[in-house]
Formats: sequence, C-alpha cells, structure tokens
Amino acid sequence: MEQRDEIMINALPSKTWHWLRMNETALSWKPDLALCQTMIEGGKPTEILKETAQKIETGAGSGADPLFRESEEEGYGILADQTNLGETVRVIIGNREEGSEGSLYIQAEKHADITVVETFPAGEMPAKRLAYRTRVHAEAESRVRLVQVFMQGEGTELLNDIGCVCEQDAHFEILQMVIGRGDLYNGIRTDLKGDGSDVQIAIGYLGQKKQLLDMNLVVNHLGKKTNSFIQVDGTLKDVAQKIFRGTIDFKNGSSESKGAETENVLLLGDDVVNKTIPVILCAEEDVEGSHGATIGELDEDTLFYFASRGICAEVAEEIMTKGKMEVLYRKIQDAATETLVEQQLAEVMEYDRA
Amino acid sequence: MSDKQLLDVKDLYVDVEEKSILHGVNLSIGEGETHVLMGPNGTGKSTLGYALMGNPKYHIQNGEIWFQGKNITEEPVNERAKAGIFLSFQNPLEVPGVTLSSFIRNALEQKTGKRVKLWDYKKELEKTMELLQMDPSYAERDLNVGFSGGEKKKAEILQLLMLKPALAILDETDSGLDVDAVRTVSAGIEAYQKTCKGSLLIITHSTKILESLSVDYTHVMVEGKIIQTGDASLVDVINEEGFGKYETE
Amino acid sequence: MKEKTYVEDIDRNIYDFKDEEKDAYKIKAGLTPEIVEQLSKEKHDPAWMQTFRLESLQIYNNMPIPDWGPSIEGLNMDNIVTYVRPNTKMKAKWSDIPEDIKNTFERLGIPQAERKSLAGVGAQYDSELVYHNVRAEVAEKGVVYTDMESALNGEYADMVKKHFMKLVRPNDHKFAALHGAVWSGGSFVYVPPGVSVEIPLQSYFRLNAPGAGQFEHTLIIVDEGADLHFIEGCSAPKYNVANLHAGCVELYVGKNAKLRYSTIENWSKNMYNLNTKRATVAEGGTIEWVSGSFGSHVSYLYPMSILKGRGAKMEFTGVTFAGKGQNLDTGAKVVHAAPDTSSYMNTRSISKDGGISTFRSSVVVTKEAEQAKSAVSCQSLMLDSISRSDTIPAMDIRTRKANVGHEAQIGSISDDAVFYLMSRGMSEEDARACIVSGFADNVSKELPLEYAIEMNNLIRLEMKGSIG
Repeated sequence: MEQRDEIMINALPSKTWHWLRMNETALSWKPDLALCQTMIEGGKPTEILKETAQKIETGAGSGADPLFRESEEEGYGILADQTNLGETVRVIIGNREEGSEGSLYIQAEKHADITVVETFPAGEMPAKRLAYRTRVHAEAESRVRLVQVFMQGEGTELLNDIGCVCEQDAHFEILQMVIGRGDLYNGIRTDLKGDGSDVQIAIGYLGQKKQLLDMNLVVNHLGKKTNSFIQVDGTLKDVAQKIFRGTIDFKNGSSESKGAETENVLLLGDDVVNKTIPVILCAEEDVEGSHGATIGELDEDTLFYFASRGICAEVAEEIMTKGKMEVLYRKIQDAATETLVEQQLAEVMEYDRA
Repeated sequence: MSDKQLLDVKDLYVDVEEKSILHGVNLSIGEGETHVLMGPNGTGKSTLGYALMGNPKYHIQNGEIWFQGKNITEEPVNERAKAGIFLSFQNPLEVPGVTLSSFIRNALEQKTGKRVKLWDYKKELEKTMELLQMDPSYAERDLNVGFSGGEKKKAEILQLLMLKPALAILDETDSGLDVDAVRTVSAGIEAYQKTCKGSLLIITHSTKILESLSVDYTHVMVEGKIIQTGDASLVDVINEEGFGKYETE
Repeated sequence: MKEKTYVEDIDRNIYDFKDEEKDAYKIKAGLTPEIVEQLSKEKHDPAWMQTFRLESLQIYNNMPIPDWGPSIEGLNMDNIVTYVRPNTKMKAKWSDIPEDIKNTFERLGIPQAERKSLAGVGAQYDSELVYHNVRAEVAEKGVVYTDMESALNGEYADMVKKHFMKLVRPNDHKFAALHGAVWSGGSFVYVPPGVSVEIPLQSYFRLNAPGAGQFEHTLIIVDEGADLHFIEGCSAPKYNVANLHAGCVELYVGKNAKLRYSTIENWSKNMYNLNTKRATVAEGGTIEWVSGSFGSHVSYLYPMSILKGRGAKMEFTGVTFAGKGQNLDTGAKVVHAAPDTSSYMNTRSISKDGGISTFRSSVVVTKEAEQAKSAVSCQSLMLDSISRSDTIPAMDIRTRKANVGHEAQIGSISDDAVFYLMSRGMSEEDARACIVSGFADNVSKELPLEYAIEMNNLIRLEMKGSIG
C-alpha cells in the first residue's frame, strides 16, 4: 500500500461526533522538510535543554513531531532574564525549497520580561510549505509577549505550532495577525501550571478567496487562581474556510480560576464555510468559565446606523473588517512591526490608516 | 410655508412588528425651517423619525414621502442619507477599531463620492469639536466606545455639523443630558441652522433644548397622527398645559 | 473551610419495586438472525417489516461503537433479553388489566393523572402496550393514538410504512440499527389537519424483567395546521444486571403545525439510555422539546431537529442532573435546511457527587438557509470538585446570511446569593436547594401543572439536601 504521510494535527482534547469533521485535521505533508531561514535580531541566544523543551506540549500536538526532526537538533533558543528586561526580539522566518521547518525555544527566567515578534513574510515561490514551532517556558513571575504576523503568499501552507508552560504568576500573551493569503494551520496550547499564572490570546484574521484557516487553541488550567482570556475576531470572504476549536479545561485543583473565550466572525462571502467549536471542560467546582460566539453578517441595527450616515452595507462591512484589524494593530507596540503590518494590510485589503 | 417643500409627508401609515403606529401623518417642511414635533410618550414620534430615515423594521403600509421633489418612499437608507437626510440616534452604535474621525470621513467620502482632503478635513473637525466643547482626543477614540450618554450625543451632533445634511431629524436630543450638555447641543443646533441653513425636525417631549432656538412650526402628535400645528408659541402652551387636553378623544 | 451542603440522591424508594416475573415468553438471550425472525413472527409483522429487521441487524453488526462519548463497556448485548411480553392482551379499560400490573401503574400515579388532565394514556409494560385509552372527544376529532403494532396492520398501515425509520435510519448509528432489528411496542399518533389537541397526550414506559431491553418506537405525525403536546415519561426498578433502552422517536411536523414533545427521564442507575429522537419540520412549523434527564447510568441523548421548510422553528429547553455514578451525555442537534428558520436552545446542567454531565450540541446551517437565526445558551452548575461538567457545542455555518450566537457559562453556586437568602431567614441548606431549584426552572415552568406529579417530585427531592 502506498505510504500516505497523513499527519494528524490540531486535535480536540475532547472529541465529538465524527460527522462534523472537527475532531482533528489530517495534513498530507511529507515529513522530510529542510531547515527554514531564521533571522533573529536581538535577544540572548541560549542552549535548548531538550528535556524541558520536549515536555512542552503544543497546540498542533505530538502528531506534528515528524515535521520538526531537523530543528529538534538545530533549533534556536532565546533567553530572557534580568539583563534584557523589556527587550523586543524580532524573528523573521522564511521558507526554503519546497518545504521547510524551524523551531524556537524561549526560556524566560524568573521576573524576566520579553517580547518576541515573529514575522512570516510572503516568501518566494516555489516554497510551498513551512512549519514553525515555538515553545515557551515562562518561569515564575516572568512576562512573555509573542507577536506573530502571518503574511504568507497565495497557494502556500503554513503550520504554526505553539506550546507554553507558565509557572507561578507568570504571564503569557499572544497576539496574532493573520493577514496573509495562504493557508494557515494554527495550534496554540498553554498550560497554566503555576498558581496565579495567566494567558491572553488575541487573534485577528482575514480569510479570502480559497484560504483555509484551521485553528486549535487549548488552555489547561492546572494551578489555582489561573486566568485565561481568548479573543478571536475575523472576517471570511469569498469561499474561505475556517475552523476554530477553542478548549478551556479546568483541571481538578484549579480552584478560583477564570477562563473566558469570545469569537466573532463576520461572514461576507456567499460560499464561506465557518466551523466553530468552543469547549469548556470542568472538573473543579470553584471556577468561572464562559464562552461566547457570534457568527454571521452584520446585524440590522449596525447596518441601519451605517446606512443612516450614507454608508451602504458593503462599505460598512469593509469598515468593520478594518476595525477588527485596527484593534489588534494598536496592541503591537513595536514601530518596525507596525510598519510591516500596515504595508501588508494595504496589500491584502484596501487600507488607509490616516 | 414656502412653495418648494423640502420634505413632504403624505398620509403616512407605518407598522412596526405588526402593530400599527402611524395613522395617516401629514407633514411639510420647507427649506431652512425648524419644526418641533411633540407629544406624549409612545405616540409614534420616534417612529416617524425612523420611517423617514427608512429603517426596514418600519413598514410603510400607505402614503408617501417626498424629499427635494423626489418620491423616496422606496429608497434605501443610505441613499436617503446621501440625499441629505440625517437622523440622530438616542443610543448610537459602538464600533471598536473605527475612530470617530475616520467614521465621519468615511461618511463624507460616501456622500461626495470623492476622497476627502485630509488636512482640510482635520482642521474642520477640530474647529467643530471646539464649538461643541468636545475634548479633541475624542477624534481618535473608537466611535462611541466607552462614551458617556452626553458624549454620545455630542458625537451625534458633531456628525450632523460635519455631514451638513439638508434635513436633520433630531430624536429626543436632550433626554438624559446634563445642563451643560443641553447648552452645548443647542449651540450645535444653532450652528447648524446658521452655517448649513438646513431644516430641522426636532422630536422631543421636553422643551429645554428649544429655549435658545428659533422655532418656525410646532406639531403635536397623539396616537400616530399630527393633530395640531402651530408656531413657536405652541411650545409655551404645551409647557404650561401639558398634553392632557389632546389625550381625551 | 466552606460548609458544604450534601444534596441527596433522588429518593428512589417509590420506584424500586418489582413484580415477579409472570412473563409469558422470553426470547433466548443474544442477537442472531434467528432470534430476530422469531421475534418478527411473534409480533405478526408484515413481510416488509421482517425484511427490514433483518437488514437492520446486519447494519448493526457492521457498525462500531461510538468512541467519543461515555463508555458503554458494562453493556453486553448477549445478555440482554430483548423481548418480553407480559401476561395479558391489550385492554381498553383500566379495570380489565391484571391486578399486579395495574398496581405498578397505580403506585406511579398514572390513572389519577389520566383522569384529571390527560387526553389519553398509553402505558408500556415490558415491551407491549398494556393499556390504551383515548378520550372520546379527541378520537372524535380524528386523532389517532394507538400502539405501533396495531398501526402497522390497521388502516394506517400505509402511512406508517411510508414514515417508519425514514427519519432515523438504521444506518445512522449502531443503536438505531439495533432498534430497527428488535424494536417492539411504542405509540403511533396522527393529528389531522387543523386539529388542536388541547390536553396533552401521554405515554409511559416501564421496565420490569432483569436484563430486559426497551426498544419502543414512537411515531407522531402532526398534519398541516394541527397542534399537539405529547408527554413521555419513564421509570424502571433497579437491578444488578445492566438494562438497556434503545428507543426511537420520529416526529413529523407538518406545514404551520406545532408539536411540543416533553420528556421526563428517570431510569434507574443501572440503565444505559441510548435513545434517538428526531423531528422534521415543514414550512412554518414549530417543534418544541422540553427535556429533563435525571436517571440512567449512562445516557446518550440528543434530540435532533431538521428545519426543512421555510420559516420552520425549533425550541429546546432542557435540564440534566448527573449524580453519583452517572455519566449523562445530552444535548441537541439542529439542521437549518431552509430560509428564515430559527432555533433556540436553553439548557442547564447540574453535576454532583462524582456525576459527569456533558452538554453536546451541533448547529448546522446549510447554504440554502438564508436568514437563519440560531441562539444557544447553556449554563452548568458544579456542586463539588469530584464531579465533571463539559460543554462541547459545535457550529457549522455555510451561508453568510445567517445570525448565529452561542453562549455558555459554568460555575458554582454564588456565595453572595446564598448569603442573601440566608439573610432573609433561610438555612444554608435551604438556600442552596432553592438556588438549584431555580436553576432548573427553565424546564419545570414549561410543563403543565397537572402533569405527572413525578417531575415536580423529582426536582424537589433532588434539590432537598441535608448537611452531613
């Protein structure tokens, strides 16, 4: 029988009916990928302790491990400690050959404070596939911000895999702007191990033409008084497809924790496919969990307000879509990245930030 | 009334959620005129405002609306706005990610069909905000997000002055405003009357905001019909006597 | 250390009584084509039904057990005696039924309820309908309410054949196939066009023999413009051997018709409740589900609605209470397959004493379902930290012209609320009981007041606690 390299990624921790086809995603990527190009500006390089790194589980899951064989041996490591508090490290990742992959490990020592910006530019054809895995270990009371800007070109596929473990009172923040034209498989897993740790995830996306966006977010609340906040805002046009899986899991022992997840999707295309599955798993009494999802076109009241100012539905939709991106844009707080994002937004939709 | 009517409402019957609210409203507003529409709560005043703007939830069962010599009864909302009708909202929408400034600019561009000259635009916006005693930082704040009631109203009046419509329908503009805000909004309306020479339809059941304005006509609406029309003095009469005498019918 | 209220398990004494087995007949345990043939012969099935059963058996044997829900390891089909027929033919009058069988229903309060408020009662005792009575006036309007067997062979035979397991097909899942092979008993209801049945019709099930399975089939057809409320309630005594319930409910709601289907499920703690319920709604029609799940050891229950016609509507109100030893996986499914359709789900779930409650749903909006509206709201209450409560809602939207909203909350009883009630004189135990009772009111307020005392009784019993 023909060897079909089907790699299962982005699996739901708690499966549901198979006919929905949301439990996981099958990727038919050949696992022999070259090492991608990684340019790192700033930051302190560090040796990666393989044991610690491998223990950090990621959103795409161990199913994706075969894709990262090269970078397991030769990945990059960044150290954040007292000597580089508040630094912003810029990482630019470029595809190579037909398929490539890379890994980055971020070790944040106690009380460290670091921002890492990962940019995935359009790249040159025929580079078709890129897999990138970022693992973060946030020690006690450290603060790690990860900003990712996806600008991959049309017809390409990108697998972005993130895993993070937060120790006591550590704080992990992710900001993702999905504004490329290619397909994106996005897995994010955060284990809030230490008491008082928290994670904030903000994702904005625009899916158009035949784009596929496949997301799997998992937050495990293990420690007490842990906190998670996930906000996903996006627009789908044309025949774009998107699946969003978001799991908040309150493990037994995570008392006094809070988890909240919100998803808003604006549907603008006649043939879009939107799949959403926001999951809350709970084995602990004293917690607060909530999720909300709003899917569809602009509601009547919104349309009426815009129209009363002379703005027709189509333009209103454009303005709302830009608005979503704008909210995220303001959070970037890094001039170089802002410029990059502005350019990309102008490219991908008519955008004018005056 | 002048011969050329800006707005002509002919025998309008309007339903909302299968309830009949307006029962044959007739109203004419000429260019540059200021009309006041008063009446007890729930009689259909706001309904008239929404129907004139064209809110799809308000179904016109009978009658017509003519604006600038054209029958706009079937026209979509945004076309009416571009033609020059403006409706202020009591609880305007919050739009995160879209600043007050960029929203108004977008509206202007839709109206004129042309790109707006940024520099000129910003100057005018600044000037107008000063007139309304609005903190200039609000221009870069997201539209209505976190605005207090008074600030929302000011933002609405700001839009009025920037968009310069031929007809401004202001719905209960002074509801819930503090004294300072009432004064500011009146100032805004006055500015509108002077600079735009536009027509106004002020819908209200309280008269504080009218004190410093010149009113041409006053209408009283009861149970979906305009039952009396008078001049500015009618406002004082209603202030003294209330609507009691109209309700017994 | 917070004082905890111990909320007692449902007082099951009312239900835990069994009659000696005077059963006329028992099929050999286990599932083979021979057994199915035998069964079919005993029931005097028409030829097409026998073929149907055998085909279903084949499908059953070829399908896997679901791997995404609670484990049903404790269920061994070879041990389940599928068909038991009691010692009596169907009777029309209550007084004609054998004493001990009558006693069972007397103790459960059925005849009183029937006399007072219900239009007709069908009662199932171990796979056969023992008693049927449809009130004269309802029958006069042309409403048909009979047992499935009669319907198969009587004047409605064609209508039944046309609809039987066309909505829930045997190849939908393993236990639908099982049902297709060994179904027995159940009700057939037909409401003619324009007829409004003012008083609810009720059906009642009871399992008695050890290891018996219940496979009743309910088929309800509400014709154009008609209106019906149907209530289903069930109970079973406790046995050590696993009990299985793989029933099937098929509901056809016609144009501009309305059907309300209420269920209070209180099977005993060894029951495997693998029930399948499905409704199809035509243009302008409405299906309302009211569902209270309190019993069973394991439950798989997701009433599904297919909104086929323009403007069709679905409302689902449910409460699930998972206590010790229970793993209740419940929810609802809806498919918007036409324009202007709407669906609303409002569910509450409570977990305590190690119980596991899972809310599982799906909202599918097809490309044709323009202007579809869907709102799902689910709330979960955890009463301790040894229990589980999971929420797994899925949405699949394929048109831009839709408005789909979903919200869920999970938490525990608010200390502020308890404090407030106590400051008004309630004991802590009563305060917590009161709050939980209020939490379940989304369902209790949807049921007719005179309905089987059982439901209100259940909620009260479960909510009452004792410190200990």
